[in-house]
Amino acid sequence: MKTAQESHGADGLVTSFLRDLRYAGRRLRNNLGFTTLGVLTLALGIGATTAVFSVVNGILLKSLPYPDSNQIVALSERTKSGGEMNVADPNFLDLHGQSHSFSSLAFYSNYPSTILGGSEPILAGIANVSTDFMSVFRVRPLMGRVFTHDETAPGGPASAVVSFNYWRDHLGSATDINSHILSVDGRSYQVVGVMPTGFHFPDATDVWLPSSISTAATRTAHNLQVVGRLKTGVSLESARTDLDLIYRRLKHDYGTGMDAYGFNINTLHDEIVGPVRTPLLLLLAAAVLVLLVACTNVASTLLAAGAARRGEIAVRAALGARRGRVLRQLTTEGLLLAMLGSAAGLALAAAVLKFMQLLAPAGALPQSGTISLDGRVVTFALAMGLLAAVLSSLFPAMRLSTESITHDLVTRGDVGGRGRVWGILVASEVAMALLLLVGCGLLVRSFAKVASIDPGFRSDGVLTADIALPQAKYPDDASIATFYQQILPELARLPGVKQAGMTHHLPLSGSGENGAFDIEGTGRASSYTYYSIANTGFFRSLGVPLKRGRFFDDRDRPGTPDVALVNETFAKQFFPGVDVVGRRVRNLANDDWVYGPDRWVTIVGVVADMHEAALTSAPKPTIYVNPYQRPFKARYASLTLQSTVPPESLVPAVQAILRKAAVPATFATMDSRLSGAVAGRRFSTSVLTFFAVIALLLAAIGIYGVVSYQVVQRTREIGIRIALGAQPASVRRLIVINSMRVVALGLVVGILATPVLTRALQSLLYDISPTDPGTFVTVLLVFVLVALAASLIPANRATRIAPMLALRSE
Amino acid sequence: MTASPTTPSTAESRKSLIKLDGVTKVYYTDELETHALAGIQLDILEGEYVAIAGPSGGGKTTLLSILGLLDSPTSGVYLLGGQPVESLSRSQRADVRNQRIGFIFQAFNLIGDLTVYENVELPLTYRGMPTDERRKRVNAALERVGMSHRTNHYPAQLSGGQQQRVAVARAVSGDPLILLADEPTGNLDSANGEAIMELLAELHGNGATICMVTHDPRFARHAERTVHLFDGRIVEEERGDRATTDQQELRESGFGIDR
Repeated sequence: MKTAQESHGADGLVTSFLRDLRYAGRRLRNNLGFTTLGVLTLALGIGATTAVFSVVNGILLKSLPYPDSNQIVALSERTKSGGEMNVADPNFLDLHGQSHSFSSLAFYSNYPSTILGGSEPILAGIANVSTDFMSVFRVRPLMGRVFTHDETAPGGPASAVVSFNYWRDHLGSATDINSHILSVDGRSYQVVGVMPTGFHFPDATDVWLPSSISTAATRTAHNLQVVGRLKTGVSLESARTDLDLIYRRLKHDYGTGMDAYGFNINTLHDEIVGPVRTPLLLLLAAAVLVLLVACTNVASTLLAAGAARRGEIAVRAALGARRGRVLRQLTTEGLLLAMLGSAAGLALAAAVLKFMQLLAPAGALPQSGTISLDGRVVTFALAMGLLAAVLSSLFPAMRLSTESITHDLVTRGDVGGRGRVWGILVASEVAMALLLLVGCGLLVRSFAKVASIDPGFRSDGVLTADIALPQAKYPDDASIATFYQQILPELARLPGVKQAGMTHHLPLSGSGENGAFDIEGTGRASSYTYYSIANTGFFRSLGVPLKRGRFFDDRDRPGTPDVALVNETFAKQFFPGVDVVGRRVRNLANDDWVYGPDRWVTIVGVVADMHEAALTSAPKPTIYVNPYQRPFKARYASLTLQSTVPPESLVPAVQAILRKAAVPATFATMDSRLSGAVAGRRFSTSVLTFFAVIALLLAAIGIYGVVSYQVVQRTREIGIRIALGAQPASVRRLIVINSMRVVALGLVVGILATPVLTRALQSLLYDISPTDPGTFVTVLLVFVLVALAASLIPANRATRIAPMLALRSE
Repeated sequence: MTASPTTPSTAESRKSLIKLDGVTKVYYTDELETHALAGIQLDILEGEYVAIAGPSGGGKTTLLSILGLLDSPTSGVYLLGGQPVESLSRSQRADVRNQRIGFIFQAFNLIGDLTVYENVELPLTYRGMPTDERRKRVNAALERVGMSHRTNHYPAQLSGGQQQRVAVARAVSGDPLILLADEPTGNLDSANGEAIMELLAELHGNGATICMVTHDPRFARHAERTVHLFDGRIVEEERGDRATTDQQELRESGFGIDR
């Protein structure tokens, strides 16, 4: 017998597929309610997944915008605890001279500074770079040239390369770039090149200046950030081996003179995106879970819709449609639904992406400029649509296409077993949604803990201004000290300003420095102290209380004995059990090269601890020197103004005062800085919460849908029960218990799966156990309540079934 | 089915199209074993018009389902066109249904989202027939049942009688070896019922082999032969005005034939 069906070539297959598609379109159009719900459900899943994928694509998957960027690596030195620190100057020279792995190796250090010489003084990103810096990135200048060896040699010609934006905005897109002289830190630089648009490495650099190695620096002074380009054919692993050999040689030669515990090497891309990799992958996994919940939801809806189509499917089978043919028809409908879902999902993804970008303030996500709905993202959305089509329609289609033909043609009854399948689908939905809710619950509680940390300072009503005093105008310590002596009282006199202060390192700004020091009577301190410069106004404007001794006052002037404040951690760590006030320290590694190793500093007061490095890390021992006595590093500082008016409203007045002093500034409120410190956590927590709510909603819809369908299926049975005298409560109980059994199964499966989730979450949690019982109990309660509500609506409907009508419905 | 009008040949000169030998069908439930068919022996010849009659629960529909390859017998032999069908795979059975059997159901079973034309075309698309030929056949079939003026209508826009005509057109469009009709007049009023029976008679007159399940003796009379089923067994066969089995048994069971 002939067994081939529709074996009439590719054209026939296409025609046949188009016919299926046309029919699928008609079915979806004729069932608009079902179609809308299905498309929206899938759009939520696909939209969430696509939005997160577009972030993952932009940040984790896209290469850095440099030729052969996978060969660009970042090098650092390893601390005793396995952490990273900058490379010491002599170590860089040895790496440069001894390594065989790199075609280029360069160092850089970057900082903000005031640039004069353009259309106006601006505070901009400066990078001091070595000769090979540009060749590491293989980026050619748009105009002019990059640095020559002469320029990066000590005492070489002072030249500058500027960014495209700086050239456009501050040099007026000049073609005669060589005629422009920039003044940075008191030195004049001739502009010799303009980099192409988009090149800003490191961070947001606007001006690159040539730099040379300090021959005086030791192997314990870690000043250089290092990048390199691997030679063609050299793997990261072989470069690591190469570096290990060099490290062993250096360690052998210099012993304790070298405090590194090895060299680290990583791709620059990993170095940049590393910190956000885990949260992003976690969010992607969460979004995929949302998609799976959506697919399961659509699958159970399709199965329900399929129940009404069993007659049609049976007719098709009776007319000779093979199982595969029926399967194709049904999956074509699923495919069309999923493609519509993909299109809606893409639109939704654009909205979700905007929402996510709102949640992630500038700088919270590296490479965020590359995030977009590009071709790869669209392909991903379509692939998700295909996956959704397969997941949501194949199973119902297989199920429907295998059921008894005769039974449907003749009896039109239910062959049973579908309830079990639905049970499995709903339980799966519940399990997946529970996972998301638990993850969300843990992150929310963790975030709440972080947000409730007392940073040790007040942020409300505080305006901050980052400044860099131009060397040309403030060439020495005296002029810097004078600047603060004049400007701070002037700022404090502004209407609405209560206190004005300055600090070299603003808390939570990401900057900080530490170093060794000597304690009078005991010698070298057992460990490093953090070092900052701050005046009394700084502590007062941030409401940092004095715990002992006194603040700096008029007695502490240039020429009088140097004084310092320390925080409580410093006092406890270095002077346990004794009063630190009146004790003297010297040889502060951070500024002894300016003020000499023998200049004693007397501790005159103890201030309360602040979380300066990060909210989640313990306060570090810190010494604050007086800016009027040791102002050298105070050229780079932040002003803090405590105000009685909205702090932003002070900006024009402060700017006017600073402008008079030729000091550009960038402003931010302390509140926004504090908020920025938890931006990453807030981002992950908000996005995961958003996904968890969607999943919970979908699960609730799933439970509602299935229970509603079961009520319809059991109309006759319920009618009989009511006719026999069943109370509404017992009917309600019957329905709800049945549904809650499935929910309970899902919850158990979900809880059993949580170890996988909690392991992934562990690194993102703060001060909360991944198995926090409070979170689990809360989530379970929420779930049970939502499931109860979703079941009670159809259950209540069941109690209103009219017995006679139900009995006639057979 | 032959499209050209021919006079039905005599039983002696016709070949056997369907042969059932000792066919049984047993349904098993948790505690019960139900014998729906018990040792059925049946021959249907090419061009023959056979009615299967009997009370509800007698096994008529089960028999038709087995004849239509919608179900399989528990035991016994079923030869269709001289070939055994037990060993056919699911796909092969689908092909046989598609190419050799035409179904007419009591409830019409048209697909609501397909137009009249598309409903009739459906089995031909499963066959992979080229578009031109398909169009020719569909139009011919609709012409034959008098529904060519409603090609773009949906089933819901038709009366019951019209729907059944479309179902007949769908059944004959593929030119099957046999038409299996399950209570084709069951959902129709008597006028429409008669019209459908006339249509079947006309098809038979043109050479079609028809096997029709009916519980209505008035319609059974349209057939050349009536097979009476009771409790899964053939208890009587009537050919023309000649009863061949035990009338007494039927009367004892309370099932009489209205003559």
